[in-house]
Amino acid sequence: MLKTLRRRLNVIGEGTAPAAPEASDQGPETPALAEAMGRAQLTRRTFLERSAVTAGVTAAATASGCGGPAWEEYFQQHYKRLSDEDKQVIFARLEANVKARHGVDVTINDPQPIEGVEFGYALNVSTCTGCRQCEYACAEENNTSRDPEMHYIRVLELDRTFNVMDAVHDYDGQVPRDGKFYMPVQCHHCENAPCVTACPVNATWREDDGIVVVDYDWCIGCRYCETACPYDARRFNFSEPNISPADINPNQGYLSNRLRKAGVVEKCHFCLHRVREGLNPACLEACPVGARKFGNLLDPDSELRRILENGRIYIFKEEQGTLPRFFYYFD
Amino acid sequence: MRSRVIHRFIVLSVLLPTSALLVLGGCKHEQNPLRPELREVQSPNPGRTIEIVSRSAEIPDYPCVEQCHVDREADATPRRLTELHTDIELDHAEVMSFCDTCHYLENIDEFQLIDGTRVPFDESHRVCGQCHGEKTRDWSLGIHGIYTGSWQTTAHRRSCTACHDPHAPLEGIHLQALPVPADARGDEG
Repeated sequence: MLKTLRRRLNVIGEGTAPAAPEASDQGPETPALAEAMGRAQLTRRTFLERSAVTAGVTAAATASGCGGPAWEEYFQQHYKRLSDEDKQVIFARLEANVKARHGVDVTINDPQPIEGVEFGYALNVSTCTGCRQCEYACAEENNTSRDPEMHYIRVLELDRTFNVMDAVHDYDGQVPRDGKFYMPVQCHHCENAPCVTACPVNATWREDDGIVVVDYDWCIGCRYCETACPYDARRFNFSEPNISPADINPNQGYLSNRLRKAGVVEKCHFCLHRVREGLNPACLEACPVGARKFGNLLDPDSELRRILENGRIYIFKEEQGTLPRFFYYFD
Repeated sequence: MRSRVIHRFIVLSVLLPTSALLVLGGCKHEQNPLRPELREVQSPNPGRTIEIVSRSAEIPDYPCVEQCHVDREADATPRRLTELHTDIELDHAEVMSFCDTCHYLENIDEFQLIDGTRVPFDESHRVCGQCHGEKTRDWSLGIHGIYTGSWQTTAHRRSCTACHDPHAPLEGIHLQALPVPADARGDEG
């Protein structure tokens, strides 16, 4: 009995020690042992290296074959590691891709944060009529998919209790309806952004002027950020975004409204390509009742500061501790 | 004696790194504050100006004198208008008698204040501000009203009458809501 057990143990011991010194010195004796040795030597590093090469070869094959992503696209660096020359090459490639695919001449810019500027947004809940003009203006400006339809802004219809759980999303007809308030919700560009913390690959981050951006070429589409966001501000491209060439806004920013692809997350970016040039976001320009105010939080003379200092401010989900840059106010 | 020295050494060796950590942590907090503090800095855009969008340019019948009132004097008698301006039905404050409360009848292209001061047609906020002081203050501070253009250089501000009908302001502003977006249809949250 004991002998049998010992023999069994020995057998197991031999089987589970493929990298025994004698064996590796003498060389593999049987194919099974060789395979076991190979498995043992295949460390995580070598595995990753090998799979990267395989992926690269596949990528090259697809690029030459059926219009898949190009080699450079696969090996493109993170936005923050790109030099100005790299950016020029990448932007030119992206522009050429759009031209080839949609036949539209677009310009991709990369305006940088302005020194001494931190953007903030205030929205007058007393004035907002819930007409959804901002929502559609945003879609037009930011080249969001028309089919399936994607909007960055969601307007909530609330009653006097202001309970978001009872909000109506699909109201229609003449607005404002009696006794109702309207609260458009979009990315709040939080100082303490849960989405940025959740991203496992740093594909989203907060810029120096407070805008939380997404590098669509770095996003792996895990949707952790979407789950982390308490404002439901992030949108995922389940399929290839569809937009007719006539609707494409040719003035594009790399971190903002350039055309996206399937499998990446996107969201409001305060119209980064507009606001860093001194313009207002498209949603503000579209608002027919002047409920939206945009400006520099660091400028003591800005209207935004006056609103924050004198107005009655409501911070949506303040208890989440996200410290948003988007404020609601009543007048 | 020796144990006391060792004890001191231990205490120091614990305290020093801790305090260093605290100091470093403090510095780090100052450099990267969690809270978006409203720091007082020099405005990066001292050239910021605010322009009022001309209201008269939006009214097809303006200038009124040139088009109609050149030989037709405005009648300030309170009555229901049946011949011209039939779309105007005065439903505002009780203190408003008729046209001449706000319009300057000698030159109908201008407004007049209660004290007789003449005001250009594009500065309706001065007329409305006589009663609606608080709203006008909010408007001048940028809290109320439409501000478009640029947040940095020139902002375009709309005057009161661009949005509010001064003849019947209580009717309010009603708009047709744009279609419900696909992902908001039904009871999906």
